[in-house]
Amino acid sequence: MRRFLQRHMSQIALSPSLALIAIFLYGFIAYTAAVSTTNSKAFPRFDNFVGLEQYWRLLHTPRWHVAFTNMFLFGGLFLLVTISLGLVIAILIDQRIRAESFFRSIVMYPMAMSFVVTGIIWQWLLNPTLGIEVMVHQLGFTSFRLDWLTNPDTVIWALVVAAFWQGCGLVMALFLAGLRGIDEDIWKAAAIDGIPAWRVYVFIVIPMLAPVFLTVVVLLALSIVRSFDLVVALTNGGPGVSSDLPSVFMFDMAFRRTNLGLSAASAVVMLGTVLAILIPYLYAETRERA
Amino acid sequence: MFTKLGVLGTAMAFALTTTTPVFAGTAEVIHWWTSGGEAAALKILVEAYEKTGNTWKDNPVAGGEAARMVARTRILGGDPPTSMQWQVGAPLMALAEEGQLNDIDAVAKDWDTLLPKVIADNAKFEGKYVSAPIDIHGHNWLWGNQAVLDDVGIAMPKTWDELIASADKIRAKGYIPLALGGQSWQEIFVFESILVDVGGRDFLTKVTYDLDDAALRSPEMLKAFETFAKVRDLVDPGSPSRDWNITGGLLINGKAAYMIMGDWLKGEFVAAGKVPGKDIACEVFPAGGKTLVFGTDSFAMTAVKDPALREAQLALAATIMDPVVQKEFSLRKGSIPPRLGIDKTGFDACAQIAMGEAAEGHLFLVPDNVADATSIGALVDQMTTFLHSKMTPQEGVTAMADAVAATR
Repeated sequence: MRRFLQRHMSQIALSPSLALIAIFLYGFIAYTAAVSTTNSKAFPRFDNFVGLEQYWRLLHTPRWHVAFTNMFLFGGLFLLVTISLGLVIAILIDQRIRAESFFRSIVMYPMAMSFVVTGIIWQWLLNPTLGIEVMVHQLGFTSFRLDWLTNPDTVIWALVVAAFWQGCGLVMALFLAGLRGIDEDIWKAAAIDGIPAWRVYVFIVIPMLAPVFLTVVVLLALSIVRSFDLVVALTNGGPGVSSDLPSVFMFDMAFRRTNLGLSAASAVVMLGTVLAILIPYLYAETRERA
Repeated sequence: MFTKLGVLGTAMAFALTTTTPVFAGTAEVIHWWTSGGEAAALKILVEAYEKTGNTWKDNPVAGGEAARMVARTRILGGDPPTSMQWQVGAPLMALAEEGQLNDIDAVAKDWDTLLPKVIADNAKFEGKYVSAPIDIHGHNWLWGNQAVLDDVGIAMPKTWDELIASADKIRAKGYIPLALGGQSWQEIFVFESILVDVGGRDFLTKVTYDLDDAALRSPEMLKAFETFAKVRDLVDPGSPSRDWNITGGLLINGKAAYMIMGDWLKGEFVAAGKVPGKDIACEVFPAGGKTLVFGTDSFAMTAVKDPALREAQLALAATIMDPVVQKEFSLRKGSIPPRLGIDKTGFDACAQIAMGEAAEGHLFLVPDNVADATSIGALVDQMTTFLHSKMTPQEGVTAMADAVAATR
């Protein structure tokens, strides 16, 4: 008995959480997939199987197209802006500047805000009748326009700016940690060879940060798919439905339109999309390192 | 997500049933009336109910959606509240079809004669009342700031053509013609009043209840979209996504001439010291459309089995329909009573107009409570997309009809 316990202690310790994950994660993923093949309205019902009809319907819902496209648009821009600027800020702070912790804190503080607070702050700042636009007008520049939030074509940028403001600190901190982990000798060797600093960064240091990039991309990708609260607080999907994201669409269908079948179908498509993007990336990155 | 909440709700419901014994004559009621005026109105109902010897167990949940979600999870978990605020019509029928409601016919024998037909029809399942309505809120109200109208030198418009024609004069004086909060639930009030304007009540029925493909592609629809496209120029740049109460501020503070919004906006007038019907003119819009689009707050009676709870439920239904409760409640809430024949004294001028419309059978139940939620939702999505885009009216008509067709 004692030997058995000793040998299998780790399995026994892990099994409750494994069981919970099996039920509450994978179990409900399967349950959601099952609901998506039914014509469920307000309550999940399994006596009205409709096959893939909900997916067909989803494909013919213009609002879903907007939401789905937005996820890539917002996701792509957010990744690009946050990673590039986060890296630049990290490199600047890494120059052994004076009052480093002061600048670090400035960049890090927004991270302490929840997405809801972030959304409301930026909603005020970007509101053309009371935010930055009015302030600049009062300074005398009356032709200044900042209508990102109220223009359906640019509202995605408003989301990107707010999400960047909130997420930049984390990215900066991760890159800074990576940069500090780089061997001083590399810099010394480069200095002896007379290589300019920017070339050292581009061709030596940044490639060495590849594992940090992996972490950053995974973390940001998760926050993109989850970014429901930011949209709800900042634009609530508006103007019109132009800043809808799949998560907002899914919530709306489930709770406002009481169409669980369609909502479940959109959830499954979301999951599929995320897996389709993340699995090859994770696979490639982990193989490279192994 | 829903399923996870369902389990959570079940767990919570289980915890509730095991820790709090249910006493005879106690009605647990889920509602979403938490703000000042709402709470004052609710107090009238609670006090009247407790006078019948029963106890009111209050379960307020802020926000209609959240409250309905709590009620739904409680029902799914097998521990329904005694009663809950729930819309009449399709949402109520969905519950009834699941066998989740009790009828209250024991106290509702004469309700057919007391309620407007549209409310009676939509509060009954298989001919029996399953819900008790306590108030009516009208949606397609045109409000006008009287001081602004006087300054511009115009009267309240009767039709959309008149409203649009007056816009230039209003703009010339530096006012915003129409205060609009650019969120789809606010914009739909504008769109519905335009539908009445171009095709009357019948057309509104065909489009929003039947979601009839021929009506959605008809010349009237094109005309409606042409008018709707002009709304883009009536509003200010800050309109998109703006909340209704902030938008109401534009009207109340004399920055905008008109606003189309439900009569709960009156609460904001009163808070700002303005008198509805005097400082702020009101009109069911378009005038003469014989259509007051309305929603009603109603208490659905769940399928509780315990005889004591059943008694508490019937007492609640009777209290809700009591004429004194109906009147005093609406006076505080800014609504009008669903029960017909209530004395109009004490109500403001706008509420009196609404009571007249109700008595004449002009009520039109909000399409959300009648049409399939997904289909009417697709219509609303396309309506708001159109307003915030540069689409031509013809493109708007086609996009809406196609989107609605895809939901079938």
